[in-house]
Order: sequence, then structure tokens, then C-alpha cells
Amino acid sequence: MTNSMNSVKARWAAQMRGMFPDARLKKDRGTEMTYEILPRDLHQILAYLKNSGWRQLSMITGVDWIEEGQFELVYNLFDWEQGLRVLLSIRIGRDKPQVLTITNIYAGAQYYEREIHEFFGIEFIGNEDALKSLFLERWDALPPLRKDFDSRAYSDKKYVKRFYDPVYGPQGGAPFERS
Amino acid sequence: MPKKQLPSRFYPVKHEMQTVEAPAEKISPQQRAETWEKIAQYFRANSLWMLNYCTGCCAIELPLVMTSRFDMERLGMMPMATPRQADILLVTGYASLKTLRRLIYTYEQMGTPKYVVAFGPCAVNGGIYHDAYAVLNRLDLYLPVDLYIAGCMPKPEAVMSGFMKLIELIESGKATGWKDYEQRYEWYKKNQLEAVGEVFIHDEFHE
Amino acid sequence: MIAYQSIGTALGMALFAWLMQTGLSGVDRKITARIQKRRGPVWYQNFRDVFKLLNKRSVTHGWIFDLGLLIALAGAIGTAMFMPMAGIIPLQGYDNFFMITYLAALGVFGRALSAGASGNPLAAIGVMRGLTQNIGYKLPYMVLVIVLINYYKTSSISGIAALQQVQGWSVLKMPLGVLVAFISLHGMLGKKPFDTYLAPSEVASGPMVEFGGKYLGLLNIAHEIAVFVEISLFVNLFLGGGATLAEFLLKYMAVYLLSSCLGAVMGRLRVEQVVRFYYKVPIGLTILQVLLFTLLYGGVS
Repeated sequence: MTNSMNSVKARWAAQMRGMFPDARLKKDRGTEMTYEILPRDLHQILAYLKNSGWRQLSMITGVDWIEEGQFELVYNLFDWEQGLRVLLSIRIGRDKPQVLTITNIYAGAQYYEREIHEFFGIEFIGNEDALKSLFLERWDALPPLRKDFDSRAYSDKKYVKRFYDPVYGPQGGAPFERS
Repeated sequence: MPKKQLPSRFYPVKHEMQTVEAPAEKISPQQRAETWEKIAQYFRANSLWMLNYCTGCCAIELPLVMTSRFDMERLGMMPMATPRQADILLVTGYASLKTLRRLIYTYEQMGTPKYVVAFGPCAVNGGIYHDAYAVLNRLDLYLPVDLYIAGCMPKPEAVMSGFMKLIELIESGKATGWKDYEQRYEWYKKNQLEAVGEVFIHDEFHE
Repeated sequence: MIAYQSIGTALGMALFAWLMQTGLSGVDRKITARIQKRRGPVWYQNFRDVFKLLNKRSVTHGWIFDLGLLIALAGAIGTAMFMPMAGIIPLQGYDNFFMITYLAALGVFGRALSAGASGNPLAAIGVMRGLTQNIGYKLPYMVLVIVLINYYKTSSISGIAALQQVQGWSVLKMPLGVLVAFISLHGMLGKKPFDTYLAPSEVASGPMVEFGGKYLGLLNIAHEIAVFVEISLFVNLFLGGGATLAEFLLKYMAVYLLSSCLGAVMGRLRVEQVVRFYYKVPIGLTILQVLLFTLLYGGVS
């Protein structure tokens, strides 16, 4: 990493600190910085970042912190000119999780929000398309990436399994027949 | 423990009068159909067009099989773009809830005779995804599988030998999955409905 | 009055065209494979493919779909029936260039009709691309052939071929023009840089997207015969036809295999690149060639 880039980054970080005192720099890995922010600051910060070069929303991820009773949403932004990645993480309550949509800033967030709604059950206020199913058509249980969802039990209940006693060695192997 | 068999010289030799049937004057329609079927099987076996629809990670082995080193085309196999043109459906890996509906659509669009080849353990019993929330464990309940190719993922050698085995099966008339699907259509449909609820596809590209 | 015998000869001609061209396209696949360091299929693989396709069951998409396919097949066979080949002229006096062009267009439009009736959007895209490209390569080709017809004072293909046996091949008189005609031929055959309209992974083989089984088999037959017509036309008009059948077939194979070798080493152009290329290079070269030809071999009379 060059010195000039370092100085650009330092100047930008100072500016960010001045504008958003609530944003806490959690981790700095050189080309990747993680900020913990408050949900109410999200749109301001995203709008500011989009105007200062972070034009690409790489992805949105969800994390389920079941012991703390919280969901974490990580917004992953990338600036192609400086090669800098910024991760913004917000925490929301786990029961009846709701967050405002960001499709008005980054239109590409549509599919990420749909996916997160499907896998975590987080509701995006203002984005009605996020209610449509994306991968799990006709899903009939808890959102599957929540920590209290038991994948094994669901699979055992729903799908037909194949049971056979494995016979090892050259003679072995159960013949497959159409049942 | 098999019973010990006596050598044949201990049996009394039995002479029987054999009636030799006179050769039929005309070839019966059934015989003609059988001969025609044999000729057709030769052509089907040696010109297999596969559909470029791949479901899982085993698909990464197919480029190797197609290109210079293993060269699938010398067996007469070619990748084809649409289900209407294709003869083989390769299920390369697991079939998930979303994929299975599309697989059924695709399979039913293909013209008979058609064959299904399943790759890897995921199609047999779910493989490493046996406890995943969206992976169907047994493919043969939903589509008639003609051949399984073992390996996670199967090496290109295994894929080639599997294809040669498929050619052998077709040429000897043993790959009859498509007939099975026609005969036991209700049974397959029942399984499909139990697994995915509804085979009809609802998404913004189909509505 | 055309004798029944000559109609028989003409049908035999179409059959021969299909057999030869299907075998040759198998050789073409073999050569392509060899260029790519592969072993390739056997040379009679395309016969296997066609018979397998004719043995499959398939679905129809309405009567226009069937009718268009039959028009395409009839157009292809009909065109091949009129094509003179090294002194063998099946229907004497009817081997007019314009007639063959019109009949060949029947094949193309039959295919387009059938593909359009299938109702698949990808087929519609493929047909649109194919017809755009068709105009692109037909225009310079037509201009060149009209210059030739004007020069030889006949529009009979066998007549032009016979005159070339005496006066020397047209390729010596208009080298640039033959280059342009070859580029057009390459496009007509749907070989590699210009096969945008049937790109398999982009538009799912374009017009053929809904064809399967018997339909695809018949389409394949029609395609092979159409290829025969296009190459024979090129050989007859620009390479002097042939005094003997062997000479004609030798030229035919040389042209076809050159085209397939070129196709094996090139990538596919995008559709706007194809159109831009066809409306720029071949048409520019054609205008240049017409000017040169007029200066060297007398004005337009």
C-alpha cells in the first residue's frame, strides 16, 4: 500500500469521524474497514459514501446473534478508484426485525434484500418486492438460516431418505433398484 | 453355501424329439418392429446429445470431458442448447427445491427416447448435503435415472467410462427410464407433488 | 416441355447433394476436431445424427410450424434440382441465376416462418438476426453477380461456367470480388465469426430453439442441401465450374474445407459487429471492384 493512498484514506477517515460521531471504527485491515453504526444513521452514511466514490454495493449479509437476541446486517461497499472496501454493520432486535430498505440509494440491493428476507425473515420497510420468494418457493417453516432452525430435523421430516446397510469390500454395495 | 452339483456325466442322457419349426413365410410385424428397434438403438446410442443444464458442482468436470484431453465428441456426444434437441439430461449433483421443478419441466420437454444420468452421491442419497434444508435426497423418486456415476466429484475418466456404459446400455436396450416414466407417470407425479408441493413454476420469468 | 427423365435426374441430383454434403460436413467436424487437438467423431457421424433425429418423437407447435418446415425443405430440394454441376444440367434451360436465388430465399423464409411460429422469443431474436445478416451478405454478392452477368451476357449458370472454361475463371478477372463473395459465402454457411444468429449459449441456438426430433432432422437435411447450393453457386460463378465432375468436386471440397478451417480458428462476433462489418468491408470492396472491373473490361452496356 502506497503512502499517498494511506494519506487519502486517513483524510477520509477523519472526515467520516467528524460527520458521523456515532460510527465506531471496529476493524481496519488496510484496504478494508469495518464500521459499526446505528440503524438510524444508515441512509445518511450510505448516501454520503455513494457520493464519495463507493458506487458499488457488493453485497448485504445477515448474521444471527441468537444469544444477544440480535440480527446483524453487513453492507459491503467497494470503491473501484481507491480500491477500498467499507463494511457497515448495523444491529437490530431479533423479535419482529424491521429495517428500512436501501433500494432508493442502491437499486441493486433489491435481490440482496429479497434473499435476506427469505433466509432470516427480516422485513424491509418500503420494499414490497422483497416479500416475493427467490430461492425457497413455497417455504413452510422458519427462515432456514436462523440459528434456531434445525436443518437436520426439517430434512428428515420432509424428504424421503435412502437407508441401507453399507457392505464394504469388493463384494459389497447395495444394488440400486427402482422402488 | 451353494449346493454341490454333480458333474453332468452322472445324469442320464435324455434324448428328446425336437420339433423344428418351419421358417415363417413372412416376417411378422412384431419381428419387423424388433429389427427396426435394434437399428434405431444403434443410432440412438452413437449420437447422444446432452443438454447443457447443470445443477451442481459436478458440472465443473464436463468442460474437461468435452475438450481436447478426453474429447466426448468421439463417442458422438455433443452439448446442445435446448431440451427439445437433447437426448440426455445430466443431473450434475444435488437437486434442490428450486432446481427440481425446473428439472421436471426440462425433462418433460425433451422428446423421447431420453435418458437421465446422475452424477455423484448427492443424487443417490443426498451426499454431503443429506441434512440440508432444501436438497432432495433421492432423485430416482422424481425422475427415472438410467445411470449413476460415482465420485465426489467424478473424475473425467469416470465420466467418460460412465458415458460408455450408457452407450452400452442403450445399445442393448436396457436404458428404459423414459418408458418407466410413461408407464408409472402417476407414481412419479405423486412423489414430485409430495416433495415440492406444486410443480408449476411461479417466478417473474414465467408469469 | 421438361421430360420426366430430366426430373428424375434432378431429383437424383438433390439426393446426391444431400449424401455428399452430409458426408463432407462429417469430415468438416473431424477437421475442426483435429485443429483443436481432438480426435473427433467418425466421418459418418452426421448420418447417424440425422437418422437418430428422425427416429425420435417430437412435438409440433401448430400447423404453420409444420408448413414452414416443409417449405424450407421443398425450397432446398427445389433449388438443388436446378443446380448445374460440371456439364450435368438437370433441367436444361432453367438454370437461371435469378430463379435459383428466388428458390433459395424460399428455403430461408420457410425456416424463418417455422421458427417464428414456434412462439419462442429466442427463436424470434435468432430469425431477426439471421435476416439482418442475410441482407448484409446478399447485397455485395448480388452486385458482383450482376456485374458478371453483364460481362458474360448470360444469366444461365451453366452458360457462365462454360464461358469461363474458354475465357479463364472470373477469379482472375475480379480477385477482390471473389474475396468478397467468399466472405458472403462464409456468412451464408453460418461458419464461425458470422454464426451470431445461432449462438448456443446466447440465444439457445436461435431459430432452431424449438425444433427437436423429426423436425430437427428435416431441418438438418434442408440445411445440408442449402449448403450444397450455396457452394456450387460459388464454384460455378467464380471458379469456372468444372470440365469434369472430379474437377468440380475438387473445387467444391477446397472451398468448403477452407471455409470450415477458417471457422475452426475464429471466435464469434457480436451481432452489431457482424452488421457493422458487412456494411463496411464487403460493400466498400465491392464498389472498388466494380469500378476497377469497369475500367479494365469495358463499361456497362
